[in-house]
Amino acid sequence: MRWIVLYFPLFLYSSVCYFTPPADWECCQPKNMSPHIQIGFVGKGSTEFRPSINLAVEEVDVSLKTYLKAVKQIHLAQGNAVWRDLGPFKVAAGEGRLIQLCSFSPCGEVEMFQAILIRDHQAYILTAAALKKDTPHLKETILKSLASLSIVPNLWTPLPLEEQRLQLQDFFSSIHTRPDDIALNDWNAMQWIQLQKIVEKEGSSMGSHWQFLVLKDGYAEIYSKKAQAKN
Amino acid sequence: MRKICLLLILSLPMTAPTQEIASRNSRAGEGAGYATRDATVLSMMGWGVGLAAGIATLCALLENNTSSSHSH
Repeated sequence: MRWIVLYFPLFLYSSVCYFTPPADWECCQPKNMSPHIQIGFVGKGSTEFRPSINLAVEEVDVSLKTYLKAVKQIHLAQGNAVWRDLGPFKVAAGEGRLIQLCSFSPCGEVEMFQAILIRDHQAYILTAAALKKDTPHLKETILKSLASLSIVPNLWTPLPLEEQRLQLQDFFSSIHTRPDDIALNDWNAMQWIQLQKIVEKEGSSMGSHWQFLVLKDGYAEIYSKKAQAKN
Repeated sequence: MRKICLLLILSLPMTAPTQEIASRNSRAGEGAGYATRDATVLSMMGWGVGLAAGIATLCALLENNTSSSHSH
């Protein structure tokens, strides 16, 4: 019984996809974009056109080969001037495919790299865009970021140390265990601050997308209706 | 023991992914197509919240996005 109770929090999450954006890029959670887009990061460019990278996820029931054919048709219909299949591309979660695209914007010629991985009927798509004149010094950073695409069973699994994994796991297990002598608002605020400290200390090497996902899940759990009712 | 198994089975529908995934009502490849369009939009709009303050800024982003749904 104890075993089941201890491991129950593991069922709270199924697979999680994350990647490591370049260190100094800024995070944004797009509101007015396609529902496929999960998150985006923007860097600094030589003009108003800033380099960006976004993660999209799409449910699919086709193979990678068929998916790529469909993607090519859509990209060419969008008026992209160049579409190149750069071949197999290894990412942390497995072997995907890398595509290069070129298009035009009011700021100049844009070069894009798109890494696509299909796993368990989901297409995971990382797309990076930068002005063509900026890509020579950004390409290595962008490809490194695309290759970091990871799929893990839960958010604590990728932490390097067992102690760190347990700490985060314990935190999520204890969110709903408010002592009677602490008011609900105080408890929630304490939990939220504690989570931030854990992420800052234990997840400093994990990149801002992983940090964002942990904070997002923790925030939702701390302030969930379930938590309000239980507490 | 049977009760515990039942509880676990009942809890399975709650095991939705932490990331919302767009349902597939459209043709394959749409996600990748939108991703390139949105990459251009993202780059040109330059939307973002500075990460200079690290975790604090990520938290502010979350709090701003959800502030209308509950109070602290």
